[in-house]
Amino acid sequence: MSSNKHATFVIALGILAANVASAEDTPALGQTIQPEELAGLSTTVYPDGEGLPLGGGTVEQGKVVYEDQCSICHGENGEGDMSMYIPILAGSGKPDHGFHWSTGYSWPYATSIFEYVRTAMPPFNPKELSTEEVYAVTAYILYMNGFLPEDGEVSQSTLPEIKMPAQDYISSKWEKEESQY
Amino acid sequence: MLKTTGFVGRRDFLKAGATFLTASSAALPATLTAKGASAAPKIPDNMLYPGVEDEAYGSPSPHEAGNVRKIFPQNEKSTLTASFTPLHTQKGIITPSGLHFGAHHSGVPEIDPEMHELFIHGMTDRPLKFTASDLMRYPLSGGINFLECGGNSAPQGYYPEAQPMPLQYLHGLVSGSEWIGVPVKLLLQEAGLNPKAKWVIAEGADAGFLARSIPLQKLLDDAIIALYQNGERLRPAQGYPMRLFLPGWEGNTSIKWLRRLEVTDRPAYTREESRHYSETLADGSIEGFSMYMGVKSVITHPSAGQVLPDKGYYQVNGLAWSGFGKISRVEVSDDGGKNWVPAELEGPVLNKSLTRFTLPWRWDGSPVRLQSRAFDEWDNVQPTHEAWKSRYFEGSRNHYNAIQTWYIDAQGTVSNVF
Repeated sequence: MSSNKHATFVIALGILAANVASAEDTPALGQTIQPEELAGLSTTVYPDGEGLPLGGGTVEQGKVVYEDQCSICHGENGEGDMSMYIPILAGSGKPDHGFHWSTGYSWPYATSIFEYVRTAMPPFNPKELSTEEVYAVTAYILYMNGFLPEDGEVSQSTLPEIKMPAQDYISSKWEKEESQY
Repeated sequence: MLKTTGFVGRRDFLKAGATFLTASSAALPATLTAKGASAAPKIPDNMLYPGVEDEAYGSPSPHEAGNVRKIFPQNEKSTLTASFTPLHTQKGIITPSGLHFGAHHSGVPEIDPEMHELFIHGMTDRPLKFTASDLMRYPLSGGINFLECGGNSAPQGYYPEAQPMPLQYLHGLVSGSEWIGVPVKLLLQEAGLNPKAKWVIAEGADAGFLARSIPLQKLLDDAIIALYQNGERLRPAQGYPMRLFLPGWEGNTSIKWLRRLEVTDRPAYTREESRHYSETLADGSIEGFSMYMGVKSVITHPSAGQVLPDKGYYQVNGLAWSGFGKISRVEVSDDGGKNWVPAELEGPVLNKSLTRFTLPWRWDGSPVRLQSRAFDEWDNVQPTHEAWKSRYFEGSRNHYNAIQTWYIDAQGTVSNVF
């Protein structure tokens, strides 16, 4: 049947097109990354906790780190200073201005706080905090927002379990509509 | 016909232009034949003495020293810096590389290309790394595209009242360039994609490891790892030696100084996509991962910061762009949006690119509200300020793409109004 012939032709063309577009037409210069190099490469942390290193820290330890490293910019209580472009870390809920969200009420996952502090904070000397200090200061930011008690702590296993309020009111435009365009 | 706008019919304009040209060409031979006459212009030194040698890398005229970006500086507490393109001097769809906007969260790193590697790993058959000189040997492609910061025009969304700012500060976080590089899909195919892969975490080699979660769909479409901008290797402030370039998408996703592509099946919710590049909708909820830059236009001449010296003829012109595709139409109004007149689209009309529009206009000297609105090939229409504001919570400031109104008072001063 002619329609079948047509279908076969289309499939053959498809295979040809796939070959043309494949890596065979490139110089294929990628070097294999060796396992030992791969092991320390990624600092990405996912909401389910993948990527978090072993360890943990307490609110009490975090207060010491925060007052030593963070409060000079972010303020004693995480109030920030938007006039200096210093983000607000702690707030009491939804703000009355769409740009004045706190980290606590706008970031949906506490794992992101760990990742960001570990890689980017403090901004002029990032990556100087130890893993324990990063866990501890993450715990302290959660405490300032009222999500952890004064004697609380977080660890590799408990950080992903923190329920951040923004999980109830954040959505992805990509998932909702843009991925269908 | 009842004349309702000051826009000049195209036929009238051509006729007027012809008259002007005739007068000039008639005057020219008379000047040349009057050699030695006392009325002849003095021959300037540059026509009497040879000039200096050219520079190895050319520079703008010293008389154009004022044509620079406005820098939003770092302060002692924040490393964020932004540089605003002088759109009020730009004519054409290419922004000179040195005037391209920048928004850098941890400053501009200095990178030795010989020391820089791109790592592709995660849900791949083979984890691979590449140097910039490796990538130069791949088939290159790209095009002329705009790049716009998700926070461009933020003062329009942030403040309840229109701010007395010039065009450059209001809308200068958009630029146009020719970007050439390696299609990302070639490298992903070489690494071999796990069928369950859906997202890629792209990370830069800046001090803050700036990272975004990118849908794989885009990387298999028109995404490139850009190596060249406007015919030369990238400038450091644009990601040297390599950057991700995602045509039409929020500028922050085109990760500069690209170091890592981690293939995965879900987004990481990095800092950038948790609050910084998200919007607050009218109901108080937060919308993130808004990737496309909406259809937008702005009149650059005249614009806030400029003064019309007299009533009479002006060429209204500006730029339009859409993250979805080509601009199909731009209309201009000089009565605050009551009547709209189609503008000419000039020069190439390219996919996801700045597009020039022009319209001859006679200003009668009375106060006017000048506006432009753009349409794209997918029938997206640039919204009014009111319509835009109604979608977002007060103060939400990203992805502002509403119609810009320039108010021109009786003295010819142009200012920003809502």
